[in-house]
Amino acid sequence: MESLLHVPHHRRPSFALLLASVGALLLLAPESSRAEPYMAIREGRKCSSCHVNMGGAGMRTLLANTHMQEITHYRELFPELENATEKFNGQITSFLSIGGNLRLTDSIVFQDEPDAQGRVPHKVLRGNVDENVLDFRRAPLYALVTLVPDYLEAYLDQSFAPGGTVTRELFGLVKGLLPWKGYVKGGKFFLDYGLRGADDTLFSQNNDTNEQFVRGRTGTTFNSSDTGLELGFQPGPTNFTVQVTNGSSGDTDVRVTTNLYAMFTDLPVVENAIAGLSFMRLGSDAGDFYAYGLYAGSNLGPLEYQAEVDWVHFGPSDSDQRSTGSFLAYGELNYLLLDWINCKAFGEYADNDPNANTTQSAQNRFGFGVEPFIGRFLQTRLFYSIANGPKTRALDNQNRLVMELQLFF
Amino acid sequence: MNPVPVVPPFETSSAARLLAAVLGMWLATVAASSAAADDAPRLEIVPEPPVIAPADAAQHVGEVVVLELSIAEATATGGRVVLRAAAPDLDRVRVVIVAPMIGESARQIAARYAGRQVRAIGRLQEFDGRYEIVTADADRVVVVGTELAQAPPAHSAPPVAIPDSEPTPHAAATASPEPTASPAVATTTVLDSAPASAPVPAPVPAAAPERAAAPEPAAPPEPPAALVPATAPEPAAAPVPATTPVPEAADAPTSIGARQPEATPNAACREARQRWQSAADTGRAATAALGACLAAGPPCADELDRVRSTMAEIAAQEERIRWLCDGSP
Repeated sequence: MESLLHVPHHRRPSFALLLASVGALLLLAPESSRAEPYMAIREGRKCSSCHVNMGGAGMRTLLANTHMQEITHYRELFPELENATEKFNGQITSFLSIGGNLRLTDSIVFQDEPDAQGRVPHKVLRGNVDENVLDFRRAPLYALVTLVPDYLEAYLDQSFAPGGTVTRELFGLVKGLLPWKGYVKGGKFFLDYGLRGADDTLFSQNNDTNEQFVRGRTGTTFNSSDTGLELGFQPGPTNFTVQVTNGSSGDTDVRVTTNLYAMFTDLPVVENAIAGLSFMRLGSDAGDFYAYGLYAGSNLGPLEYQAEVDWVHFGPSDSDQRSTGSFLAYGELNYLLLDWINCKAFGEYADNDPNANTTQSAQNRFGFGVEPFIGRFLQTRLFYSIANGPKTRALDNQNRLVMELQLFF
Repeated sequence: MNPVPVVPPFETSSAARLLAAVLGMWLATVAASSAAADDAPRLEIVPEPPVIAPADAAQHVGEVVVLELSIAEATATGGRVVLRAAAPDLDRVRVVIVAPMIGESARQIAARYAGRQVRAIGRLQEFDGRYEIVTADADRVVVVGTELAQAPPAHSAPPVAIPDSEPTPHAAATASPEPTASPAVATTTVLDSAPASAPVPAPVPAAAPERAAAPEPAAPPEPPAALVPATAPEPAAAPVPATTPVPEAADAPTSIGARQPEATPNAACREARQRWQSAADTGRAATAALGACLAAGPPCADELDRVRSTMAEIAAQEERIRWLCDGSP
């Protein structure tokens, strides 16, 4: 319990100084972005339209880079960048291209001091600045070798920060040879489960205990990937994938992840809509972990909305132990203000025990912010989040003011 | 005292025989496969990409196709070349070439295609009601030898004509911003209406297709054999309905990128060489003008632009000669 109550106190700068430094950072530093489910829904396109990885995330396709303006609605705020005659397009040769995302994030953490009983109150607003975290949230570089155009590719997603160099994805991709627009992917790749947005770790930087919501509890953030095979089909509006990956190390079992969704476009009233379901089983000697969930989203012009609910369940192999499970939910609203500033509000919930009638261990987090693309290669984010959880865990009761600068290409 | 167990020698030899047998079978299989490779049928998992006209694009979204179209406008901006189809598909069908950093510039690539009939191979995609092939390899977009006699007006802002007597009415390089949110300085190469002072274009080869109406099936256009897929069921000319039969070239390669040198130069080859000569003459004049300007002092941007354009035209003509003549410029 003591460790849970430990609150990092790296430094306590004044709030004004923090705001000033972050403001300067916002003005001076570049930032990057990744296409997200809200863009896919707004455009009525599958993940594979815009990402080399058929399941989304990482390097963007030639199509996405060609239509960056239509997809991101960016505004070139800097005339020097707008008027530049030569711009990098990522294509080194006809068969080799590179890309990258550099996300520099500053989080001002507001957190109350525990009382004599080691408890912190639930609040909407917190004024005590506990910590400032300025670090790369993500810094991957991508490389794509097109071995046979339209059919065979090799792809690398190498992360350089935080935490040193990590290969997030490395796979070969064969497509165009199977019926129903099928493909086969072999190597190390992200798990294709649910709606995966770029904000998966935005509010948990330097605090893993805040990764207790949909993405964190299902193990499907962009910091987690696994090695194995993926088979996918994309007939018509649907997308179906099955991944068989190594799973837990040191055992004989595997992880199976499936995802099925359909993207409907040009619908009456609403423009586009997505509906899908996911399932994951991770076997290990200690027991089996299951996650399954539903998700859906749609848009009304510039207003986009999406939600996901999941159930995770762990059944110990020892029959004397009781299985545990919990319920997770996530939802967000996006509105494209002035045709270029995406405004977002989100909420997420995690019931961290198997009993649906108790909420002592439950966590929730709400937030809102803006994330405009300020250029062909630049995006900024400014968000405020409010998290409340068990009162005995101070780290689960934080507010955060998060600023992110992203440079992407 | 028990005797020391000895492994019977036959076990070792048995294992060796088994190993030899497996190895022998493998070698025999490889040898037989090699011997029969020439006669063996190909594993036709993927059908030959169909040759389609712009009008049929909507039926082939997501497929790898050979799209044949006439290019009304070629724009180079932001490292990308946008080739827009001639009317009536000007706003509906296009080919985008992402120019690699190593190799020809987008400007040079654009000059190769304006006003010409091309075949582009790649996955056809739809974006905002527009059908397009996006590729990073300019070799996947080849000029097939026939050209537009007259271009429709440019779709984007009217290009600023360079005061130059181009050797052909084609490939008049101009500078105009592309109407995008990233209006970097762009190069738009369009097929001009032939100016009065411009030389008359070389006569279209006898086999060139009629562009206004579909030709009779009995006399379809005859594209260069090197560029016709062996199973091409479609006509060569873009505006021709896709159902019009086209004669197959017996020796045609199956790939749009394959080159098939012709035994003797044909009319199109001779015409390409003439155009190269004209481009070279213009290039010399442009170079001389640039030299004079450099001696006189700045600004020389216009002269430099002319040199770039003429060099690009020369490169484009050399590319055509490679395709249409003996395989080498």
